[in-house]
Amino acid sequence: MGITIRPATIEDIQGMQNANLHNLPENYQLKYYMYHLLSWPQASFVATTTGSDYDDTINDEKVQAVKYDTSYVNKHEKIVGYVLGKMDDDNDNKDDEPPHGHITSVSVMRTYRKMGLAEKLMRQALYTFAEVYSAQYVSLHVRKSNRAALHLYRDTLQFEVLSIEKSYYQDGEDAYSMKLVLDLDQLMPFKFQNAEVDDLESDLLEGL
Amino acid sequence: ETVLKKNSNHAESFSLKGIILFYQNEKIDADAYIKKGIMKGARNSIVCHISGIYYRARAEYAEAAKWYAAALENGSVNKVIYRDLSVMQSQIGDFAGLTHSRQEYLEEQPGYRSHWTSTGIAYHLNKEHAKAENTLTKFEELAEGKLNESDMFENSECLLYKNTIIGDTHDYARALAHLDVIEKDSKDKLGWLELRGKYLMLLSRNKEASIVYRSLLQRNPDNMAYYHLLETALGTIEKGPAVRKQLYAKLARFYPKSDPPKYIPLTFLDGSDFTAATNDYVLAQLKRGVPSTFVNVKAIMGNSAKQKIIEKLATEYFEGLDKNQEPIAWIWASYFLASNALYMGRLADAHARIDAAIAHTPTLVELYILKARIIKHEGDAVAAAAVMNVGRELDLQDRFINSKAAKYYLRANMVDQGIATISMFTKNDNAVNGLKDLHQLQANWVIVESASAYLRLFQEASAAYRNVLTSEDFVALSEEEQLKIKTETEDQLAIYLGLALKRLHGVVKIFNEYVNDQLDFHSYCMRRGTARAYIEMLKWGNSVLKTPVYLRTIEELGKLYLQMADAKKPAEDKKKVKKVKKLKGKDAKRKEEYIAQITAYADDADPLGAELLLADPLETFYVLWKPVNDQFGVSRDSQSTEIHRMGFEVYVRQQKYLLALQEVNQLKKVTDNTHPAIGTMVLQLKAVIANPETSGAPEAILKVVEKSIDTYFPELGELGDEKFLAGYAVDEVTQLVSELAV
Repeated sequence: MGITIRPATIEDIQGMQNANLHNLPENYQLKYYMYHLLSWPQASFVATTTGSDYDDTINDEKVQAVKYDTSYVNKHEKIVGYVLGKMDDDNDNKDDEPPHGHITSVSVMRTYRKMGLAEKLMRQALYTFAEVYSAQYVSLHVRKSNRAALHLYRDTLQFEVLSIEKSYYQDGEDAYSMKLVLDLDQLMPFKFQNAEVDDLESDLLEGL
Repeated sequence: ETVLKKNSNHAESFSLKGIILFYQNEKIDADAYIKKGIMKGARNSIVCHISGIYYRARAEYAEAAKWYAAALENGSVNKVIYRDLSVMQSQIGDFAGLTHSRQEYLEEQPGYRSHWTSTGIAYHLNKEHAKAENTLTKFEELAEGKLNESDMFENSECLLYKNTIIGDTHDYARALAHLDVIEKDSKDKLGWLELRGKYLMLLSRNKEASIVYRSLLQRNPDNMAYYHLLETALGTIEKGPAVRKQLYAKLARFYPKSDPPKYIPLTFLDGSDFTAATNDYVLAQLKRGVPSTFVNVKAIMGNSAKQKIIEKLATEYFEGLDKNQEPIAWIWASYFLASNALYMGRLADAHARIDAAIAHTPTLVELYILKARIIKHEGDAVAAAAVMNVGRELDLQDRFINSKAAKYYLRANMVDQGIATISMFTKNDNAVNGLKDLHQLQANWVIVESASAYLRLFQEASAAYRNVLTSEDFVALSEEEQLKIKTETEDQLAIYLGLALKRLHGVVKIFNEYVNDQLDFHSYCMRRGTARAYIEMLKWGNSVLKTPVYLRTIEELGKLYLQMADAKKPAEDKKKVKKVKKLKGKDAKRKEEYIAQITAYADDADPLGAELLLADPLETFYVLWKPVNDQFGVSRDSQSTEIHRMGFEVYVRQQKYLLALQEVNQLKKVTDNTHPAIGTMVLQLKAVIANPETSGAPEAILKVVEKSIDTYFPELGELGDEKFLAGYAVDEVTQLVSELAV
C-alpha cells in the first residue's frame, strides 16, 4: 500500500471530512467541502493508500474485506491526508487585491507522518494556485502552538509571517497569519527533488 | 386572510396562507391549506407555483417539479419558474424535462453564459451529445473576442468540458484535435494533459502518450497512477521484471524523494532483487522512523514468500541494533516487528515486543495505539480502551489519539466515557458534552459506533434478562417484586434499543443532508462554469447511499426492524411507553441528567428514540431500504448482497412474493449463484406460496411466482429440495434474523 498523491475529487470529500474530524479541532459540514471542489476543482489534493489493484501476483485477502471504516473512499484507498484550497474571490470590496489563494485546511493522519506528505500536498496546491487560478500569493493561518506546521510553512515552503491574529480559533488560541508570493516557474514540483531531470525526449527504455 | 373571509373558495388565498403558515412553522396547518388550495384550483397557475415553492421547501423535489411544470402548463408567464423547475429536475434526475426547461430559459435570457452552459449540460446529461456541443459552441462564437481576464477561468472550464463531451462520443481523434485548438485557453494544464494522454492511448499512439505521462510525473511524481499509465504506454509490463526494474531505477533517479518508484518494484520483483528493493524501501523508512512503514507494505505481505523475506530482513536489522546507541531506529523496528506479528496472528509475540518497546520509550503515543490494537485482537475491549487512553494522556493536544481513545471506549460499550472523551475537542456551548456538535458536523463514525455500542448493550441485556426470568431466584420472588424488576429492565432495554435506532437514524439524516446539499450547485456551478466537477457531483449523488458506512447503517436498521416486525405488535409497545411513570426526586434528576447526556439535537422532543419504537417497523425500513436498492440498480456490485437479502426479507413479510424473488435473483447475479443464503431463500419462498390461504396473495400471482422460480432456478425441479439446498454452502448468517427475533 504505497502512498499516492492526486487531485481531490467529489468522491473524496467524505473521506476528507472524516480525516478532518479525526485530526483537527476545526470542522466543517460536507457542503463546505463540496463548495471548495465545485468552485475551485483543481485546488485540493489528497494523499491516499493504494492497494494491489495494479498487481495480481499479490494475494491480499486480508485487505479485501469491505471496509466500513469512514476514511476509505475505495476498497484500497484510505484518505490519510489532504489539503483543501480556495481562492479568496468572494470579497467584493477588495477589487484592487490581486487574485490570491487561501489554504482552508491541511491535515495528515498522525500514523502517516514523517513521509513528507503535508509538504507534497502543499507543493501541489501552490503550483495549481499559480497556474490554474493565476494567484499572485497564497495565505494561511496556523496555530501558534503548532510548531511542526510552522516549521513546514516558514522554513520548508518559505512562507513569511505577516502578523499574529489574537484568538483566531474557536478555542481562543492565537494564529500566525502567513503568506507566500507565488512564482510559477520556481514552483514546478519536480524541481524540489534536486535530482537528475527527465528531458522528456530521450527514450526511457534505451539500453534496458 | 381578508380575501378568504370574503370568499371562502378563493384557491390562491388558501395556497398563500399555506405557504405563510409553513414559514411560521405551523407545518400541519400549512399542509392542509396547500392541499385545499390544490383541491380548489389545481389548474390555477398561481396555486401551482405556490405548491411548487411549498414542496421545494419541504425537500420533496419530485412533487415540487410537478407543480412548477403545472404552473407553466397552466399559462404562467413567469419564465423564472423554468429556472426553479430546472433545479428540481436536476435534483431528481429528470434530464429529458431538464433540456426543455433549460432551453426555454436560455431563449428567454440568452445574455448570460451560464444559461448556455446549463443548457449544454442538460443535453449532455440527456445523452444528446451533438446538441450539447452545439450549444456550447454557439456561445463561444457569440463571445469571440469579448471575454476579459476575469472570465478566463470560467472559459477554460467550459472549453475543457466541451472536450470531454466530444470524448464521450468515442471520437478520440476529434477530441484530440480539439484539445490542440483549446490549448492556449486551457488553464487546467494538468487536466488538459491527462485528457491528452488518455486520447493518445485510446488511439494507440503510445509513444506520444508516454511523453505526456512523463510530463505529468514532473508535475506530480507522487501520483502512483501516472507510473502505471506510463508503463502501459511503454509496454513494459509485458517486457518483464528485468526491464521494469531498470525503468524504475531510472525513475527513482529523477524522483528520489517520491514513494512510488521505490514502492512499485516491490510488487513485481522476486528473490534477491526483492531483497535488495526491500532494503531500499523498508529499512530506509525504519531508519528514518516512519510510523507507517508496516502499513506501507501491508499489501505486499499478502504474498507469503515476500512476507517471509521482509520479516527476516527486519528481524536481522533489529537484532543488529543497539537500543541505547540507536534508540529511534530500535523503537521503530520493534514497532514494525510487533505490527508484523499482529498481522501474522502471533499475538503473544506482538504483545511481548510492544511491551519491550514501551518499557524502552514510555512516552511514544504510537506504541500505545498498537498495544491497544493487539489487546483488542486478544479479545479484551475494555483493557484495549484503557491502554489507548494512556496513550491519549501523553498528548492531550492531539485529536487523532483522542479520537482513537473515544473509538475504543465505544467498542468497549462505554458510550458515555467515549462521548465524554471526544467532547474535549468539540464545541459544547452550554451542553454537557459535544454530542449535538458531532451530529451537526456529521461525524458519522462516532454516531455509527455509538449505535453499534447501544445495540450490543441491548443484546447483552436482553440475553441476561432472559436468563433472569427463568432463574430460580426470580421465580421465588413475589409478584410485586417480579413486576418491579420487569418494569425496570424493560425500560432499560427500551432505552438501549431506542438509542441504537436514534443514532442509526442520525446517520440517515446526515446522508439526507448530503443528497440535498447538491441543490444549490445546480445553479451555482452554471455560473462558475465548473461543469466537469458538476457532472462528477451528480455521479457522486447517484451513488452516495452506497457509501460503506451508510450500508452498515441500513444493514443494522434492517436487522433491528425485521426483528421488531417479527417479535412484537406495535400496540403492545404503545402500552409499554405509556406505562413509564413519572419519576420523582432523585430518580427524576438522574434521568434528566442522563437525557442531557444523550441528546443529539437541540429541541428534540424524542431524545431517547422512544417514538422510533412505535413506528411500523416494516414500512419504516422499506422507505429507508428502497433508495439504497435503487442506487445499486442492476449493477453487479458485491457490496449489495446484504441489501438484496434484506429486500427479500421485507418483501416476503409484505407478501410481495414476485419482488422477493427478484431480490433472490439479484443476489444470484451479484454472487454468481454462490451466496449461501440463496438455497434457503428459494425454498422459503416455495413453502410460502405452496399455501395459498396463509400467503395472503391472489392465486394468479402465486402461479406467476411459481413459474418464475422455475425460470430462475430450473435446477430446483430436477434436484429436489434437499439436493438443491446442498448445492449452497452452509450459511452462518441465515439464522441471524430469526435468532435476533428470539
